[in-house]
Amino acid sequence: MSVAVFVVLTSSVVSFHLAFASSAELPTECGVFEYNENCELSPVAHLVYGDVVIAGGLSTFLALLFHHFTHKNMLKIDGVIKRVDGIIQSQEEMRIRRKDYSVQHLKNLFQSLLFTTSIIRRSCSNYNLTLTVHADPEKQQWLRSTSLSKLQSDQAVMARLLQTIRNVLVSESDVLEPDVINQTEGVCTYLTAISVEQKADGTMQFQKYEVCRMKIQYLMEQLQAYSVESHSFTEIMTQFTPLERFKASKNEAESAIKGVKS
Amino acid sequence: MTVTREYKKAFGQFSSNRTQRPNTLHPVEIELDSQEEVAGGAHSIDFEKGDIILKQSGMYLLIACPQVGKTRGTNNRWIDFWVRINNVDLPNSTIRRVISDSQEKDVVLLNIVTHLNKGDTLSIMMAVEVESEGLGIEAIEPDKEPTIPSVIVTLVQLD
Repeated sequence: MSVAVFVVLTSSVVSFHLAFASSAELPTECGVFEYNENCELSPVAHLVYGDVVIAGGLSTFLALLFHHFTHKNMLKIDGVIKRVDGIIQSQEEMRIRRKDYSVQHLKNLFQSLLFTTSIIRRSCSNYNLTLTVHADPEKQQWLRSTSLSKLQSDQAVMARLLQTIRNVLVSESDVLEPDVINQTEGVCTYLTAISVEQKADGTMQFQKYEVCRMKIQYLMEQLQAYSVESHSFTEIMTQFTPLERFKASKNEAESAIKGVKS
Repeated sequence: MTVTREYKKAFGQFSSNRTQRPNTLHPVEIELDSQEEVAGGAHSIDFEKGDIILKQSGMYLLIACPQVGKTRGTNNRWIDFWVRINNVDLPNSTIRRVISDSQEKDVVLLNIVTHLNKGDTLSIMMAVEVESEGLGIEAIEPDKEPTIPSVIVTLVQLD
């Protein structure tokens, strides 16, 4: 359809040119493309010169106009790209700073947690001592109540530390690696369920103290593998430490077998 | 000459040679007391009483086989087993066996596949219907045979 319209338009324009040009009588000495004051423009020259001038002028104008607009837009786009790059870079720098800080913060918190577990264990021992101490009942009661208060306050410190660690995990979940978050969350979950329990004889006992320490130390190993140069956790080559008790049992078994043989 | 073996994937086999009968209706942790021999290598999974502690993150297959029994009574009594990770019970891991007679001995199979992180703690839990009939897991010492452990736990890293 558009092709048909174009053909009609072009042919009508050309026909008009030819029609107007053909009305004048041309001197016989004038050439087809001759252009001077004594000669009328031939229809073909009229068509060619008119189109060249109009189309050329118009296209030059449009080209200059579009070039101007393009140039202007390119400058705008370049500015926008620079601004976006700047924003991305500043966000990345902020992410790295947050990651560095959160890992350092977690390390400090777990160090405090490790220390607090030791304090709680010592408080348990102190409380247990008050059960056997020989003193007048009033003083014994005072000792027991103060030791118990100390134990409870230490447990509260541990609870607060665990809560702080959980808060750090939530706030920094977009910068820390999922593995580290899961591992930290696992340790927190375990420690939250651990409590000091009173046994039947009245003594206090820190349940699974050794396991708690082991879990915290594993996690601290992981956190200490963080490099502030590369802003990532370096791969820890898991070295399984041989347990001496199994080696010892194996040696005992071997010596027993030798003894039987001899 | 000392031969050092290196294992890429973590594994462990644990057992208990001690009879464990809960004297409470609350869940109790099954305690373990021995681990497999690794022929000069190093253990890739540690344990402390009832807590199996992972040293390597990954997907694990756990198979636990408690040897169940009871000492008194002729009523049907159930005994449940399940897995607890980081002191949180693992859903869809519980199994139940009903025992009616003290002569009845059986091994129940508990198996799970789950992802565990380095430092995670895994425990096999047990709960009984009544505490007065000696329900629990039994280590048996037959004549001229090795001791039958009260529980055997196998843990293998899959990935």
